[in-house]
Amino acid sequence: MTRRITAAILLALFAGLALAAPSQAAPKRVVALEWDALENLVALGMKPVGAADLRGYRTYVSVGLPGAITDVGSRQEPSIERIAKLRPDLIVVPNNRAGRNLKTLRKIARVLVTNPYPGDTGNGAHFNAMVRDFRVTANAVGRKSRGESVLRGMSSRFGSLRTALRRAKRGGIRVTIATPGGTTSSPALRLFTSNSTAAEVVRRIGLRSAWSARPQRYGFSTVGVEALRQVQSGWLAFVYPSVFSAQIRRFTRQNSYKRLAMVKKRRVRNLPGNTWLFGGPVSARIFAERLTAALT
Amino acid sequence: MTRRVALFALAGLGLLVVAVVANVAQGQGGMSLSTVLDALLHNRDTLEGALVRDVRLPRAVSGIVAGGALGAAAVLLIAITRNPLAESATLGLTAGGALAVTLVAAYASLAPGAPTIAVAFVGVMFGALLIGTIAAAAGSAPIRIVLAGMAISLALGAATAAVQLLRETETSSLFLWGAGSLLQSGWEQVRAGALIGVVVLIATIGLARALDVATLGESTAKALGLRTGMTRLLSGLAATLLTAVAVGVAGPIAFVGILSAAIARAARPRGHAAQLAVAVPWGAAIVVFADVVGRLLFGLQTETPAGVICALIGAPVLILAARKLRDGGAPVVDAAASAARWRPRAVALVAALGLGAAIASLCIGELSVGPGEIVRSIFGRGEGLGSLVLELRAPRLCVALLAGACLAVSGVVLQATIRNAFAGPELVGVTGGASVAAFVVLLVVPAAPHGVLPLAAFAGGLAAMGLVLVLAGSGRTSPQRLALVGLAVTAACAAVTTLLVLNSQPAASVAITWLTGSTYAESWAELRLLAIPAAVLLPAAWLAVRRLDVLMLDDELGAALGLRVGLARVSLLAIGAALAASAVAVTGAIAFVGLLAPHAARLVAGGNHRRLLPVAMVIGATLLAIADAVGRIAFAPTEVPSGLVVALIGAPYLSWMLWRGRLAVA
Repeated sequence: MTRRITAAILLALFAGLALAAPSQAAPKRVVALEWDALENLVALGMKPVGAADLRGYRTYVSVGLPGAITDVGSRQEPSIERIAKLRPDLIVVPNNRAGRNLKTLRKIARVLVTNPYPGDTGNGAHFNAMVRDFRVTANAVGRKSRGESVLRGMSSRFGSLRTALRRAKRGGIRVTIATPGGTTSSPALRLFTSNSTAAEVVRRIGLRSAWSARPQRYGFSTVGVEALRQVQSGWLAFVYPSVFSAQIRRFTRQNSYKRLAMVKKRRVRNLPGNTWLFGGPVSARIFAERLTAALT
Repeated sequence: MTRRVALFALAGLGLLVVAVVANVAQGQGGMSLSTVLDALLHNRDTLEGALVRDVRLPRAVSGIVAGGALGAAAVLLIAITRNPLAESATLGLTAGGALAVTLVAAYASLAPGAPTIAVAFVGVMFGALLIGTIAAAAGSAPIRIVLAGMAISLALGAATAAVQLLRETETSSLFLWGAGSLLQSGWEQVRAGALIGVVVLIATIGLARALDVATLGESTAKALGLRTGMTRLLSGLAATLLTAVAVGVAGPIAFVGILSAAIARAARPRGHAAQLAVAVPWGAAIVVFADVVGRLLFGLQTETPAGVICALIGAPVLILAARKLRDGGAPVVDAAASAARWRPRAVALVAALGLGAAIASLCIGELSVGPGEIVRSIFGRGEGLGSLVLELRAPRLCVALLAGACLAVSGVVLQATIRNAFAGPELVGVTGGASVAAFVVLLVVPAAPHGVLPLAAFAGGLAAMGLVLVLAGSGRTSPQRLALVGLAVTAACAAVTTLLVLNSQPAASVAITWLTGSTYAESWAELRLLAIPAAVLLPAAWLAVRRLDVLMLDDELGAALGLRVGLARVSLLAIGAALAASAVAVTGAIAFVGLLAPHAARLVAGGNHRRLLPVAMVIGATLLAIADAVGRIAFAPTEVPSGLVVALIGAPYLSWMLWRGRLAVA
């Protein structure tokens, strides 16, 4: 089903390209309505004219931006009029954000709809979707070869990180990736399940993703400290920006937390808060690099 | 204490013990029973010992504290409002707590480092003040106060949703707490909650005698030398504190209070001390039990909030209670409206305002467009960006106008058939059912074609209303019973939506936006989708204006006038529900239009439905059109969902109208 829809989208896209070919070549004025789309465009060497929620992007995503991008409002309900004013020739938006505004956006410019959270829950489902979305974006802006080189860069970086980890005698260790999921008074964790991008990156750099609970639609399950008992023989990596530091402090102050084998053996690491786990190939590479640096 | 009361109390304690044992035996750590037992009795210093002692035990105890507090709070609230349906959630207290906690999570600098209980107390106090003002002005008609409480919850919930949308990532980690979770990270919070809870409970027992006297009636109490005002005030304060403890320890949990107080009443206690003796252990048992059931049903792989299960257990019980409710009871009519006359000039003013707002909305925005450009565009001779901008603004304005009109008419029809000026599509189950269906599409199958969402929401809304009708005993039912069953279904739907949003951060804001309702980015296709049912249903409602007049009055009178009351009520309810479901399917769960537009219309058009219906339509359309324009322009480029703007206009209007006592019991 999902594949068929993606195929349909691609087909429509190519048809659109074929029709539009004489008047417009590769799009120059692109608007990104989700952070991964913005990051991907930048990775492809584009300078997007507009993007949604730039303040949030700068807090949570570490991929640097070229100057002077117009903020078009929230990711959920970006200002259609401001987008129209930018006179874009391509708008990139994931299908979980583009419901109602899709038809309207299409009146303004060609719209590329990505599909970052496909329904299937197999290993690496979200990672594969991320790569697919990136390729589709690269094709849409006419930078196919540049896109492939970014992907190759990511893969080869994974390879060198894998080697570095093996040299540091960390090859094959079990790692759990956690983000905050509760309140300061009742802290909880979100542990990434096997279908998430984070878990796949962990696997690709030669480690094992430890949290093996039932895969969830969006790639994580919400749990308390007790769940960590099941993965305590491995390593734990927290990813959180400073707004959540009180919650994590509270979490790590618990008696039971202090008695986990991974804590006693000092196998807990903190990754910087702007390590975006729902991003594109560059975010995935940065996550892998930071995880490796923290582990070696 | 009678034997029956003692028996009930012991049964509650027994269930509590079983639930606590089962609760402590459950956990995500994969520990065997013998490990747990061993950890409990011997191994203090191991990981397992710490997990059982500092995670599992406080979890069970937090259930006891929260449930007991909610049970005691309900006993107090029922006593001071003399209303069997009063409890922390139905009166809007927990919604206040949830708003405060969400605010502090989003803007940490508001109260750096403050414990959740303290933050929750401020919010609960706010909710208590709102409902207290209403209760003081209004007396004690049960359904009325509960509907008012639900309306307050709705308004506070809209504010909470606004904060969640503005601070999407900061508040996303609150979903677990917001659904009522017992997850604890040690004793600190539970201990504080238990301490406050016990102190307040003791004080409450001290108040019990005074409450016994106070509930005998104002004059008797005075004769016995009691200051009932003071007793009520202290009881209210105690209930507020107890609710804050529950919200702080376990998040907002609904229906536990009503349930445990109902069980306490079944024990036929003499006096409030005996009531507390039953309600407190039962409240505790229900919450701990719900936690066990949730984890049995949904597994241990991810947390299942106990609050969701409480709502799902509580809703059927509330429905049963509603079915037992005797018919009769005074309808809630609009006092101001009964006095209001037909005021053509005011109506003309409203219509002019609507027209002006519509034109202004087309002209103002990121790009200003002159009226001349509008005319040129309408005749297909517009050009460039101006015409494109109009092409963007016109459809959403039209959808806002039509959806507002549909919601308002739906409110008029529902209020007349349920004979309650507080009825509205958002309180009788339509909106709740539509939300559940929409959430399933948005979060579980987001790849579904875009046309599926409105259809599913429409079907969900109608299905929920159908369920309400069937459960309430369809045509023979009393309006009060309908309203109650509607509330129960609405609350159960809210529980399901909370569960769905829990593990879906990247897509959660889609769902929250839907829940607030928005006319953002509507296109002509959506207008067509709405226009088709509206073209059938609006005339159908118009043809029924006489029946609405009669239904509003009295069933017997209606029958005497030759009206088949049951049939008329069911078919009109269906029309009202379908109107709201069509609007909500296109815009999301916009609240307050259906609730308040009819009221505002009554002020200028009086109670005659022939005039009321069209005027309400105009007011509803105007309200949503203005909200759409304000939401688009005020913080550009950040869009504020129009449903939220309506709530921000509607909530103060509601408070004002309640405060002025404009609604009275006939």
